[in-house]
Formats: sequence, structure tokens, C-alpha cells
Amino acid sequence: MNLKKINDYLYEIPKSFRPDMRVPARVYADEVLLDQIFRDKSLEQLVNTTTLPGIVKYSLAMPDAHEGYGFCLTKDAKVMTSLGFYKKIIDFEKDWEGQNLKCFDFRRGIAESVQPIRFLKRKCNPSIYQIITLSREKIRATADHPFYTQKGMIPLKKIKEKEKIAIYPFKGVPYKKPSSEIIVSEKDIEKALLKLGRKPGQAGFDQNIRVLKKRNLLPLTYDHPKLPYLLKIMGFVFGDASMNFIGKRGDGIIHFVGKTEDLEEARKDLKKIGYTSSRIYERRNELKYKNKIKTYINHHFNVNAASLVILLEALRVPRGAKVSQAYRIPKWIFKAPLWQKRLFLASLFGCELRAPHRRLERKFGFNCPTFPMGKREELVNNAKMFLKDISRLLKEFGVYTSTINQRKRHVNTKGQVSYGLELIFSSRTENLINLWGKIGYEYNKERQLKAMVAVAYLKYKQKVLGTRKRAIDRSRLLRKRKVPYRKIYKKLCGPFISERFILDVVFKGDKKVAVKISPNFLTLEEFSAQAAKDLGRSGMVWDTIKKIEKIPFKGDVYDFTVNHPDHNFVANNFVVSNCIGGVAATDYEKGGVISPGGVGFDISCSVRLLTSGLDFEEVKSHLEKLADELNHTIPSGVGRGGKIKLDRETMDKVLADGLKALVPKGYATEEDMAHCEGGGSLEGADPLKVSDRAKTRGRDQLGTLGSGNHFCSLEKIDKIFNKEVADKLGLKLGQIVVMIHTGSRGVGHQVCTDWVRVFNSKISQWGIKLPDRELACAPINTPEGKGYFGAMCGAANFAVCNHQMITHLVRKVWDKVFGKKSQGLKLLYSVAHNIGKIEEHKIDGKKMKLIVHRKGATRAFPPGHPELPKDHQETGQVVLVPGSMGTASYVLVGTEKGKESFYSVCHGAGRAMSRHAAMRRVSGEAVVKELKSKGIIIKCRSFRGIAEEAPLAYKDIDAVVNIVDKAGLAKKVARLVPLAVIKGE
Amino acid sequence: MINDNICMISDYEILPHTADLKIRAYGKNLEQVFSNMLKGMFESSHPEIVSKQPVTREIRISARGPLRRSFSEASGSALGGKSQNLESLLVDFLSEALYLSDVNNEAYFGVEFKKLTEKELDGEIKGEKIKGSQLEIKAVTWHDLEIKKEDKLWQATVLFDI
Repeated sequence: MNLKKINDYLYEIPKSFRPDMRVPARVYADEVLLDQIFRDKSLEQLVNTTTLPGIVKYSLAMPDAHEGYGFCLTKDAKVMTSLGFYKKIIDFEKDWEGQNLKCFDFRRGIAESVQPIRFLKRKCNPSIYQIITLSREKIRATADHPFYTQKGMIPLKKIKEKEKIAIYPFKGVPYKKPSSEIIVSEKDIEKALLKLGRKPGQAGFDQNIRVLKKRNLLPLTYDHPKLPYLLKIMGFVFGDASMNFIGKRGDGIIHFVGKTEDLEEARKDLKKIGYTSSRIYERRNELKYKNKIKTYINHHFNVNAASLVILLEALRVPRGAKVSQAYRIPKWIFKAPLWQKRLFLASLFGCELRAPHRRLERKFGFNCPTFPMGKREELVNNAKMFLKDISRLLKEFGVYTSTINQRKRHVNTKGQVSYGLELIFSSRTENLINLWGKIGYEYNKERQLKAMVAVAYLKYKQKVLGTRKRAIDRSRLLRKRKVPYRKIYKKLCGPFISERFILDVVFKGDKKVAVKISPNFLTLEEFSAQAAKDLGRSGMVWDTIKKIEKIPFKGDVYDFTVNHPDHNFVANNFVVSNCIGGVAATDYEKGGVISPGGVGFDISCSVRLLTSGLDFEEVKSHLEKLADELNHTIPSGVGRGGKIKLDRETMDKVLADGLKALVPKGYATEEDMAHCEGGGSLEGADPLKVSDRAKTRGRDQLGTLGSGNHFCSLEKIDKIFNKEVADKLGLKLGQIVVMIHTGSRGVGHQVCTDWVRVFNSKISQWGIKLPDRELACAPINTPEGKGYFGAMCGAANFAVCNHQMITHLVRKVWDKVFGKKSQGLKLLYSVAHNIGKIEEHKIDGKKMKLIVHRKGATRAFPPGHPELPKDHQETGQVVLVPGSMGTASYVLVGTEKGKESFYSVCHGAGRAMSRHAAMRRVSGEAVVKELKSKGIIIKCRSFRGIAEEAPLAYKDIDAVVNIVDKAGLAKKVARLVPLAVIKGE
Repeated sequence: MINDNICMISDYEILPHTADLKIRAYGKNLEQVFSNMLKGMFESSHPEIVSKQPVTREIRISARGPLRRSFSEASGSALGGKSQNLESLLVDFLSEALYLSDVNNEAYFGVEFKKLTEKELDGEIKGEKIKGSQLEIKAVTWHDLEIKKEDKLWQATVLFDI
């Protein structure tokens, strides 16, 4: 995929990225934040938003919406591709596009193929970690690079020794660029056709050549992109498939037999070559055996394509019955690079070579793999030559065969005699590891999975054998020094080194001791049971980490970004990894939809700023008292109600009228209302569309903060970026301001829950298909769409009233502490960042009515916009971007250039770390202590919940705001730093 | 060593997620996986239990319609209309439990079902009175929602908005 760079701060993901996208997706970010963007679900969510019916122009993501880590691998990390070869990551630098890497879908537990979106190269910080596992897998990566463990993807620095990590045991073979030598030319096809008795000028001649040319298959060279798939198909035809010309017209047909999942793979590969196959058929055969009838089910499909049969014949694939034909491994394969040979062999073995199976009489060994072949008596020598060809190919992989046996003699009904021959492979551990670890099986998923477990098992066995050998050598040495055997045992004992073992070695003296596996070693069954637990049928296996160490490093580090929800690929056998926050506008007139998921659960979660007439010097001695009073007065409302309990009638009024309902009671002024987004009272609010549940939940939550990242804080303006605008807004350096961040509490959560349920039940009726049910939506011109809109506005009205009641409490405390000295607190502005609004925007010169969904994004209208209060007409709409606890916050104003993002900007710093991770890294008390050392007071009911909100869990707010500023979407006006953070009682 | 740490399937586990709470619950049957997810949800919110006195609430999701319309109290909860499928049923069940918890200041750690099919349920959730939670679970989302039976074990994954 080509990520389009619009400018230094804006990138676009084209519509072609995914087939269900209706519009492109855009991301505001710089190079650094761009890395983080692709690391998690935000990309997927952003792209999902583009599927909303009626969406206009593009869906947007703001820089703060992105979560994730920045992490890389060293240049020699071997990355596994889906064609079974690996390349060092540095070798991908020039041609990473279009490569197919192996990756895993953890949810479904399967292996898949994925293409990289980006290739990253960066200068590294001077330290790198190295992991070595029990099976001697090794990899070096940066501290933040996630690896897949039993707890999911965890960054390297968090992984401890003895923890289990997921590896993909398949080693594959190194990549070598194939030559451009021609294997099959047009002339070769003509020769093959003439041999078949076809004549030029006839239908069966020119037609076939034309078809092959149309599919770009001629000339077929070693570096032809379709050759890898042809090699796989060839292996199949040499095995369980067969091809021939049938009927009077000589129709070419290739017949494939196997298991459904494997046949599907073959069909996909044939499609890549350019041929369509029949569907998969099922055939049931009943066989009578000892008076019982057994039903055998087999699956097969065909390809009817004479041109393909001709091509394969020109490639020297046998046609017709194999038992009565002489043929060899095509000579040209011997000239192909190793990874191409591998594709042919793996596919052939997928048909003919049995899965790894245990020796019955030796618990820990495998039977010799055998490759069988049946041939007519008179062609037995040819069969032996063919098997020797295979042996020759195998040597290049380090796989050795021992003998060729001629076994069974069979006479058929026509009296023809044929023999069954076998090529026997060595069953030595190293041999098997090479066979299954480098070649493996294609078109046979079941066998490949068993092979992966077998490789892991054998490597583990090797390791234990190594331990035992070392124990033997060391005991001998110690014995020579006359150390008693009990002491030797104490020194060397381990899970596979028993006292009896040491005794045996010691008493054998100088006689040779064979290194054998310990009798208490795991059997294959025991190993399999644990090895792939929870890893489904992906082929991944758990390995235990032996050592993690930090090593000094100087140089570049690399990584891929891949297009897959689980964001991973395989490097050095390790499975490694590489939204909220979005704006989507749908067309109101043309069946555009409204989506509760595009708005968020905390409907109208908002931020407001109250300015005071006091500066830091005047307030500093009162800070502790002020913070205390505020904390006592403002309820958090979590688990216990607030101070206000609404009856049904008042609740309905609040939902319907917003601040208008509070003015008569003296809790809000007209001026307050003018300085709220939407005028403090959203039109279109309909209390009837808010469920009883939502109303019941919210009845005692008016005037409460809630938990999580909600807060009330005392801040100081410590930097002015734009004096002109700051003056007009009444902002001064050193001024004390109050920030409140909260939302619609249980009302909003319930409204969203209720309507998502309704929408999901109706979505098929409207013919809408969505990639994520959380995006459940309804066309705005349906009763349901209108219903949600009405309920959402109601919840937004509840939110602004909630804010206002808290403001009222803050004002009371302010007056109490400062009395006549202060002029009270003035509301600068209140903005929402989880809301859907019906707005008019000019799109391509045309005025359009849009439903703009801002989830984790803030509206930022430009100067002169009619919706702004009179005193902000010149400056543009005030935008408030709170940082995380203890970090800076920003005041910005909207600009005309914001038009390109539907006048929307970011809403905050955005999380960079999960709550769990934050809690593990730091304790609540430690955070409070650190903030205190910076002069910041935290007032809360308990320390739990503080760690999760620690600043280290959030992104760099300065970087986020800078992007918005540089992209021209809003202008920085002032920066605030916190003095006290109040979480409420 | 593979020998040592034989993994025990827990009732539920918390999966990594940057901003929200993702829980995977297990069970030998459908009742158990629903019950364990409920337990996981409430235990993860770290409620402050006020009294050991057990409380029970009725939950019903069926075609029969709501039990009783009441503004000030939610003695039980009945959601009208059957759920679309098993996944919807799980979300509806957890959302209803969350609603009852918020309104009554209770947390529920187990459930006994009188009826549990793919689209309907009727049961009693059991818990205790609380005076707040350290973590407020805002809602049950449909993101990455999954419930399936694999190798004789039921498994459900739910992402909660917090």
C-alpha cells in the first residue's frame, strides 16, 4: 500500500487499501507519531470508519488518537515470508513492497500472510536487548519491541527470564535472487504441442499459446513472479494430483485430491497463476470390511485448462497414470535457487510423506520418514533414479537419506506386476530438524502443524542431550580430582540429571558413555499437550526464555509495519509485533448514517476553562486549602451518589433544555450559556428517546466528576504563544485558571449502550454491512437514527449541566476562600470531544449538511463563525486540550485552514500504555510523591486509579499539539501547567 | 522447563489493551462462561464492599418485555426483545448487570440461570453492596467481541470502555 504524504503533518491511506472503504482515511501525524499509529487497532478502527454509509470526503484521525510503542530489530533479524524463505530485515530495504510475510491471527489461532505497509529504519539508542531461549533461538531488539507471550504482546523490557514466548519453529531457507534464465519459452510450448500431435493452424494449437501469453506466463523464467506457485502445484501433481487430456476434444484437466483446507490453498495459488478451479466436491465411498461398512469421504476439485496442462508438460510434469510412466525430477529444478526447490519438495511431501510419528518401542524417537513410490516391474530402475533425484535435492538442505527399499509386489487384475519402493530418510535428530524445520509441508496443514511441534520437541531434546553430555564431561573431570560422587551430583543436578545418572557415569570410570536421553524426558504427546496451548492451529509453539540481557549497540534498527489487526510478523522465529480519536462526516441528505460508536460512550465528554482575576502570587499560599475544599465539595460520584438527586420531571427538563433549565435556579448565567459549545442547550434533544435506564442511572449523578481521567484542576498560565489572541480572550501570563474535565456520566453510557443494541438488531434491515459492530449505525432519516440523535443531544445536555453544577460548586468554594478579593470565575469556553453534530460545511464548493462525528476530537470553528459567542468572533473558537495528570494543557483557537478536517482537532494527549502496564510500572503513592516534588498537589479519595493515570502512561502532549498547530488546524495561544489536581470525594 | 508450569485455565484473565479493559473468560458450559465474565468485570473494577450481606437481582432478557417501569429503583431488570445471537446476549447481560450495579451501588460476582439459550436468558445475579469502585466501567462494547466453544471449553472475550 502506498501511504500518501499530503504534507509534513498529514498522510492519507487510499481507498484501495481495503475493498470496503468508501473514502480514504487521513491521519494527522509526524514521522515519529506515524510509527506509533500503525501499531495497534487505531488504524483498523480508522479504516473501519470509512465504511460508514454516506461518509463524505474522508475519515480523520488526530495525532493524539494513537497508541503504541516505537520499537525495532537489528539488521540481521531474519524475517520469514509466506513462501518459506527468509531474508535479513536489512535486505528488505530496497524491495519490501509487495512482499508476503508470515504472520499470525491470535484470535483465530491461525497463520496468515500479510504485506508490509512501511519499512522503518532508524538510528538506535545505545542499548539493545538480546533474548536467548531454551531451544537456542536468539534475537536482538529494542526495549519496547513487543513479543508474543502468554499474556499477549508484551514489550521486551517487561519480559522476564523463565517466561514463555511464542516462536514459529519453521526455519525456512535463505533467499537467493533467481536468475532471469528462461525455463519455458514459446518455442518449447510449440514443441510440446507438436509432440501431442497437434498442428499449427488448428484450434488446439494457437489457442493454447494465446492463453498462456495472455496470462503473461511466457516466457517462464526463474524470476517469474508466478513460478513459486507453479512449483507448488507441480509438487502436488507429482504427488496426489493427476493431469491429462480427456475426451474427443482433448480437454486438459488437472484433478486434485486432498483435505478441504489444503485444497482451498491450492485453489488460491492456481488463481494467482491465473486459473479458475471448479469448486470442491465431496465424494463418499463405502467399503465393506469384515462385515462392517465404513464410509470414506474424500474431497477433490478440478481445473479444466488445456493451456496449463501443456505448460506443466513442458515443465516435465508427468501426465496420466504415474505408475506406468518413466519420469524424473525435471532437470531445470536442479538449477533453481534453494527456496524454489523447497516449494516443490514441500508440496510433494505434503502428499507423499507421512506426518512425524513416534517410534513405538522407543519413547523419545521418531520413525524414519519414508517416501513411497509405486512402479511397474519394467520401470523399477526408473523409480530408483527418481528417488535418487529426490535424495540429491535433499542433500542441499542438509537432509540425508539412507536407503531405497523395494518392498511390496503387487499384481493387478490385468496381470500387470508393479512394485512398491521406499526412499528411507535418516531419523537422526539433526536430520529431522532440517527436514521439518527447513522444508516442512505445503498443502497439508495438519502435517505442517505436527512438524512444527516435532521440530520444537527435537530441539528441546537436543538441548537436554547437550546438558547431559556436559554433565558427563564435567563429572569425569571432577572425579579425576577425587571429588566424591555425592558432591558431584550436588553440583550438577537438574531436572534431567539424576543421582543415579551421575553414579553410573562415575563408576564407568574411563569407559565410553553413550549420551542418551533421560528416561523422565517428555514424550511427544506430553510435549504437544503444552507446546501449542492457546496457539490454535497457527504452528506457533511456546518456548521458555533462558536469558535476556542488555547489550551495547551502535547502528541502525529496522522494523516493518504490517496490515493486519494483530500487527505481527516472524523474525528469527520469534513472533514479534510492529482508535479512538477520529472524525467522520456523513451526508445528512443522502442517507448518511449516525453512529453511536462514532461518537463514543461518554457522550459529550467535555472540557471547560474558568478564568480568575488572580495570579499565582496571590493564590499560592491558599493552594493547599483551596485544593482541599474543592476535593471535599466536589463529589466523584463513583459508587455513591452526588449531592443532587433529580426527580423524573427535573431530569426530563435537564435532558430537554440543558443549561436553560439551570438558569432560573441561579446555577447558570446567560453568559455561561453563550460560552458553551452549542449554546449550552442542544436543539433536537428529546428526553423521550432517553431510556428509563439512562435516566435512573443519572438521577443522582448531576454534579459529579466520575473517575478515570476526569478531574478538576487548578492551573497556571505559564506561556503565551499569541499575545494578541490571549489578550482578546483575557488570558495573562501567571494567571490562575480552573479546568474541569467530565462528561455525561451514566446517562451517556446507557444511551450509547441502548442505541447500539437497537441499531445492531436493525442493521441488516437497512442493508448495511459493517466491519465492526461497535460502529453500528442508522441512516439519519429513519426513526431509529433520529431517535439516537435526540437521545444523544439529551445526554449532551445532561453533560453540560453536570459541568455547570460542578462549576457552581467551584465558584462557591472560590468565593469562600477568596471572598471579596476575587472577581469570581468566568467561563472562557466549554468544548465537547465525544459528540455528533449536524453542521453545514462547504465540500468541493458545494454547501452540504453533514453529521460530523467527533470521537476523541474537538470542534475548532474559525473566526467569524456564527455559532461563536460575540467576544470570540475575532479570535476563532477556543479549543482546550488537557494534558494528562501533572503535564501541561493547551488553549488554542480554530483557524480557517481547519476546514480540511471539518474544523476538528485533537482532544488530549492520548494513552500510550495500558492501565495494567502503568500500574505495574509505578504505584499511586510514587506518582503523587513525584508530582508533589514538582509542586503539584493531588487530592483524591484513594491512590488506586492514580497509577493508571500517571503521566508516563500518556503520549507527549507537546508533540500532539505541535502537529495540530503546524498542520494549521488550530493556533496555539497559551500553555497551562497544573498546580493542583482534584479527583473528588 | 515445560514440565514445571502446567497452565491452569483460570476463570478469566485480563488481556493487554492500551486504553480499555479486555477480559477473556472461560467456562465448562455456557452458564459458567457468562458467570465468569460477570465476575471478571466486577472484580476488575475493584469495588469497595460495604456489607457482606448478599444481594440478588433478577435479570431477564426475553421477548416478553420489561418487568416494571420504575424511575427511582431498579429491583430487577428486564430487557424487552430477544437478543440477536449469543454475542448480543452476552453484551446485553453484562450491560444490564452494569446498569443495576450503577443504580443500586452493588457489585455482582456470580449468576444462577433459570433459563439460558442463544437468545434469551432469565436468571439471578448475586453480589454485595458497595460504596464505590476504584475503576469505573463505563460500558460494555462490541469491539473484538467473541464467544465460542473450543475443545470442549467455552471462551468469551469482551472489551469494556473505562
